Amino acid sequence: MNARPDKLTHTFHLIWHLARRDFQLRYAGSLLGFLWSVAIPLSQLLLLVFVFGKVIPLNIANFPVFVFTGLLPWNWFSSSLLSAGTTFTDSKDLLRHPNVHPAILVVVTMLAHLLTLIVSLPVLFWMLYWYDLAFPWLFLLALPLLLFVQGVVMAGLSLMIATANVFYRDVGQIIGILVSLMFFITPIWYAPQTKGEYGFLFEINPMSLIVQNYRLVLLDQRWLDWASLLNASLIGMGLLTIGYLVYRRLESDVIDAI
Amino acid sequence: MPRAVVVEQVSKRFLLHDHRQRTLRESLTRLVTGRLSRVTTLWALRDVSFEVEHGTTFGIIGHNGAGKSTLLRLLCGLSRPTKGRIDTDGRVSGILELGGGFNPNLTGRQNLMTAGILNGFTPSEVKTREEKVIAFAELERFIDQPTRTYSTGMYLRLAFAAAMEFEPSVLVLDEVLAVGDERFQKKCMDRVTELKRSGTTLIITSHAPEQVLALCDEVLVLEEGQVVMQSDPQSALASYHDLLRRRTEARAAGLAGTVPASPAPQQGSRQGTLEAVIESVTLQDIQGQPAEKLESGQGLQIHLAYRLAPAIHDLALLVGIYNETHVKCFETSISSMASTFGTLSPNGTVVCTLKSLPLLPGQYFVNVGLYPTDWSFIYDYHWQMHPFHIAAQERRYAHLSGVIALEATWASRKDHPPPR
Repeated sequence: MNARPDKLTHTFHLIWHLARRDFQLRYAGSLLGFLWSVAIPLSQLLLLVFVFGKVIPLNIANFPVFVFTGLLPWNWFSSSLLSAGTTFTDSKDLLRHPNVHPAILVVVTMLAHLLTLIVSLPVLFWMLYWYDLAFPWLFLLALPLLLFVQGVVMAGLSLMIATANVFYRDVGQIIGILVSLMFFITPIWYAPQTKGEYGFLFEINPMSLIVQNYRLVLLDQRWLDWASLLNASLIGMGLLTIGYLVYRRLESDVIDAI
Repeated sequence: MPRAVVVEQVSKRFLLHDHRQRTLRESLTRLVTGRLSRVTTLWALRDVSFEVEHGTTFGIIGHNGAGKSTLLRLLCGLSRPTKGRIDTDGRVSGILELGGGFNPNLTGRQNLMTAGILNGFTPSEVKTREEKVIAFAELERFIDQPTRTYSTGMYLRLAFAAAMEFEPSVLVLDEVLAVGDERFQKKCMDRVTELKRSGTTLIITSHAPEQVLALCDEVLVLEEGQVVMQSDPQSALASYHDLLRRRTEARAAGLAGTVPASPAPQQGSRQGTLEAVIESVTLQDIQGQPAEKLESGQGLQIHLAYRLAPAIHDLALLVGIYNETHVKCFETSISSMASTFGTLSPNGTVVCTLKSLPLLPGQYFVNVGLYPTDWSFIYDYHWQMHPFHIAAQERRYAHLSGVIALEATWASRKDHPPPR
């Protein structure tokens, strides 16, 4: 018997391979290929900048960069959650395989969408340069941590969505509505008023906390706001626990049901 | 030595919903109207226990619905037992639905990479084995095409080749040895034998008794989700046939009075529920003359007249030739009469023509049977009821024994043949 990689290395290989495969499949047969993953946030950016920069000016400094720093983490969040519903139901081929633990597919989906964020980073850096902002060395340090916190938040939600959608196909639809509502309570194209009547929305919405931390390191050249990041992590951990419990409870039925 | 697989008192329950896919709305209305309990339960397996030794080949036999597939799915980790425990030592790999792990939009090569990594190999290890798999599957020209463009045969060949190459320590095969053309089947059988020799534990199901006898060291007989016996292949097959007989008898008892009784045969024996009846079996030679006596090498026509109960629209048919000592000389079957001959009339005749019977002189029997298409019990089976003779001619067959008549000629030389 030849030496097999240990379980952890293997899981790593598997997740990485499947994430790349997912990314490849998404753009299979399209001419521009992965360039689409940059084209989509850019078109969103153009629209938002036109509406809130020209039509109803919000007067925020360096508005395009401001919006783009919000769009990047947001798009990772929304696209992952929107595909979370079909993570299990569309992966019959993989789940039939005895060595695939369904939960890793959730991670795979998140990673595949993370690649979109990564390939958009050069665009972000170019925009910073264009607006004469300093190169964000701090950001490069903070990015892994920011991604990790957001990953925890998303993993919990994705697990719940993926599992629930196996039994109730409505879940995918509901998530579509919830995500588009959440777009408006996340400060992507505006700066939030945390003091007002609805200020608490920005305190409990982990995406709002994360987006604001992105801006701190990218635009204000300051270090992370640890209190809000801790808040986001705690919410994320709570979601992950619930998601994991839901998943564990239904795991054996998931495989029978798809 | 630890066992390769230990199954301890495993039960599996399925919940059968009246709709397969429920939406939230349906669930909510049911919650309100209190109709939540419209679920029936099905115990696919009950209290199944067995152990498989390392390096052995373990067969699982049983009729459709006996729980074979459920058991294999559990062994592969595709599903969890409701009760009980399954322990496996080493990596279990199964081909339950061939090519189940392939994505139709990716090329054969990309799918191979996925399959290899899923089986615990590193990407570089997969690369080194890739060419061997492709050669085995004979897909050199198509490997970089998306698998959706493959024919079923190509798809299956790739799946089988991949499963064989990524050497698992326990390989689970569900009826897949009937894949591809005869030549490829032979290749697969050879590879299975090779794996077996190299110490891979095999767990297989099969409908073909010959395959079970040839491959298995031990056989488990399942009936309605329970273990009937675990033993050597011979006794297991006997028990399997006994189950078929008992199921037939039970069904016949349930039908008592609804089908006319038929007279006991003058010789041989007959069994079945008689929902489909073999009215008569007439043996003729190729010219259409009655053929109680034939010469070796002559042809035989078997005219089988049947009558069906109104509820029966399709059946399977078995025709065999056995000698006096119950040795099977030849057997052939049709698994669905309706798909072979079109809609069946309640009364009809099937003619089976055997162009030539190269049998040694002696007494032989034509044994015929009618079965439901899943072969789960017997409608009517005639065992050693229809005799015919192969006549002895002159001195030609004086010193022959065996079953078939081959023409042997002799020659003798005074020296050894020259070495080549």
